[in-house]
Amino acid sequence: MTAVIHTEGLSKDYGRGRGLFDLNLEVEEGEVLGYLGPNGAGKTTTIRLLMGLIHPTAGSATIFGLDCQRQAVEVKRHIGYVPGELPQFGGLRGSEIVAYTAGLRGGVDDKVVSEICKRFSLDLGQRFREYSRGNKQKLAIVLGFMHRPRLLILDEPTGGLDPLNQQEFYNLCRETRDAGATVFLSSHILSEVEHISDRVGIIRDGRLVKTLKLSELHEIRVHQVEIEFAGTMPLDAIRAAQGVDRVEVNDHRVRCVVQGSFESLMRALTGATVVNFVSHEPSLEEIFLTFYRGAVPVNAGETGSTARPA
Amino acid sequence: MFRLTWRLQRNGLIGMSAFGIFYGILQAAAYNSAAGTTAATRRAFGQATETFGRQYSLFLPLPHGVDTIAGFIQWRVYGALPILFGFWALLSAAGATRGDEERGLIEQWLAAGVGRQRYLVTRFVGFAISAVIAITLTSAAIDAGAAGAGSALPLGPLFEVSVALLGLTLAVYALTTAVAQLTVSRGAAAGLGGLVVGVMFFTNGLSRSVDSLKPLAQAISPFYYYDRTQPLSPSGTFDVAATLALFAVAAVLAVLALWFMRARDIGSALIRLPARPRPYTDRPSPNPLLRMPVLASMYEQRLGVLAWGLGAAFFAFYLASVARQTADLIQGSAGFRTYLTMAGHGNPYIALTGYFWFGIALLLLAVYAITQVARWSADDNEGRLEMILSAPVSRTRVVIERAVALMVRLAIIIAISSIALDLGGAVANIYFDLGALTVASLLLIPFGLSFAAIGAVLASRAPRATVAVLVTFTFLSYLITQLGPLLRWPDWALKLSVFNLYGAPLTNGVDWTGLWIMSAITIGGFAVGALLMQRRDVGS
Repeated sequence: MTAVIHTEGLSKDYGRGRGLFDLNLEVEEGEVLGYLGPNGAGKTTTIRLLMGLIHPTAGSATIFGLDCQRQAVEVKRHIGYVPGELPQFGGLRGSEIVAYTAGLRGGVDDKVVSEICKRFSLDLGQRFREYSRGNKQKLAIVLGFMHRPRLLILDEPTGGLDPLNQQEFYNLCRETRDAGATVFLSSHILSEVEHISDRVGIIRDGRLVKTLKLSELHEIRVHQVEIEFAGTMPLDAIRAAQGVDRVEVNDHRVRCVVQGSFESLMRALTGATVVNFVSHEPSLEEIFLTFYRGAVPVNAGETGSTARPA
Repeated sequence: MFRLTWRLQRNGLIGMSAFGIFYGILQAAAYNSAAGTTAATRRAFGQATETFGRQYSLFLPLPHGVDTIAGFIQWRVYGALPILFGFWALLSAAGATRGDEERGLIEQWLAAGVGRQRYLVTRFVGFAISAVIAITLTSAAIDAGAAGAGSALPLGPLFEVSVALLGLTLAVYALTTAVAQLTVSRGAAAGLGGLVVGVMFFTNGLSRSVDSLKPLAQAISPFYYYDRTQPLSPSGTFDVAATLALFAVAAVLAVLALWFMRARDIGSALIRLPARPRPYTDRPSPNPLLRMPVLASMYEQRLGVLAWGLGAAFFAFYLASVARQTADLIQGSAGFRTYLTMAGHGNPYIALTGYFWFGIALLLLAVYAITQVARWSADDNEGRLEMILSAPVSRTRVVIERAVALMVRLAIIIAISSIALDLGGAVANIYFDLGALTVASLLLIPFGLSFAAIGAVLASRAPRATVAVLVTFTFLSYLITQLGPLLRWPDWALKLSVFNLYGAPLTNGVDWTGLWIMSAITIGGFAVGALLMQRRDVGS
């Protein structure tokens, strides 16, 4: 495989510790790379550098072997881009925006536009200002995918989409990948990245902390679990289960934190009468705290015990 | 909330105050140059101005007692200030209502527990305080200018006319706030508000010379009530009832605006016309213009170009149609002969028509160029530039396309207005040489482009500050042109103004030096703009 995206020491220093620092990253052809990080971690800065919209303070980036700064126009012939913040098109209709963007880009097949619109039930006859946030996001997806690009750069692309359309979007990404395209997807939602990525890059405070294969990603997965029992609670088995930590008992309820697979916990529950089982995914920042600082993610006001780092 | 409102109002206040101060000082200071210093010259100036002023009663009140500096200021300064302050009120109200709503600020405030009544009242009070400050500073500057010219103004009448100006400004603000509730965007609010205010303004303007329109003006136009107060003129009075009526109108319209706002949904117009049934479509627009460079932008701005063209055509037609009487007056008055000298040689009717129309056309096109530059800045701030650059489009192409599209739009506006000028001239039996008129019209294009080129440099370097800097530059340039000759500034100082580069091509032929400089500014400006654009981070 050849590297579609290649960065070397790519940095953008906004001062006061903000920006992106010394990014060395490779994304290979046909791969979906999830670029995971909390808000303000440097995901959008990375993407804007790759798109040649901002200039690096150090380092370089290439896409398909082309320099993202010096050969920006040529690079973008191969890229489909869904920005993090949607542009304002005022009173233009969706169909006019698509036609205008297609005119700028060239080589857009109206049938592809039509097909994507149908998948997302997007009416291009409406004015942009009349679109809901979700419909604006759908339009951005149409603009990003309509020319069948070889590389998709997607900056938190599912913001505003309902769960059904999110699933449709994941399907579209998978199909695009299967057709040979490469996808660079930024997100702050772990489960989203899990859905479609082959590999995950984790960025925090402007630095790429780690890249993981999807199988390794489960290592950092953390859930807050609340189980309600009808009868006897298998507390010892729960406490002994692998990946289970910070077990709290309240009446017939058990609260705990599960890192990694649920398998061990489920085995511990065998034979018990479970009335209710609720699992929450904590915020990415809480997961990172758990993963990198050894602190268990907890709800506000609670104090945590330690969790095992992966 | 008030503090936030004040911050949103701050730039307008600073800009308007600065404008008013410069305008006031310089107009007052120019009086001695225009009218002379002896009683005889001032009397002659007054007589000529009163006759001359009748030709322009559509825009300014009828002049009275302009042989005194106070009378001159009442007519020339306090006659024109309603246009400036009305324009400010219009834009502020459109921004405070629909602009804030477009940006989601109103939703945020309402979600934070601020009621619609409190929101509107806070914005209204914020603007009223700004208007009081701006008008006070302007009046103080006018008084300082008059004192500098040797005749300080009486403070009582100065206060009275300032109060009337405040009443009118607030009435326009409240009117636009009410009208804005019927629209869905800032642009539509400013457009519809401008149309309503324009109708009121010109109805009153026409009623100054057409008596049968007076009842209509009295019924619909706040400008009519402002005209009742002319306390600075020697025989003028302060019409308390008319001034109170202005404040009452402002209050009633503010209440009406509140009622409208309560009745409508946020994000919607008060009256929602049933949408035309439009079938679902998943196809891109078949309009070929949208897929072509330059023409796509032309299509997007088609209504704006048409509005500017028709507006300019209206002015051109009107000025040309009254040009013969105006020229006769000027030729017959020693006080105005300086205009004849400035207008150029040849047929005085053609020269003076060209002088007045092209003087206004330059200002209009400079303002138009500023609006276009403002769009370029907005493209950056609102993410459209990022979207364009995510396609295989170079930054240089963006700059070039902007320049070419602007050139075409300028050409359309100029063509429409020049045709109207020719028709208006024919009404007044003034027949232009078509070749000279074409040349004079074409030369407006590099003029407009040179302003835009300066804007392109600014927009490429600091898009957020572009409009303020360009407006200041334009204002100072225009002031040099208007007041420099009256204040007898040296030639080198006059040539600092971009407006002077145009010359008087209708009568004197092409000013090649000016044309070369404008061309150099245009090419250099856009080239530097393209260069700076390459180096800049988009969206910063």
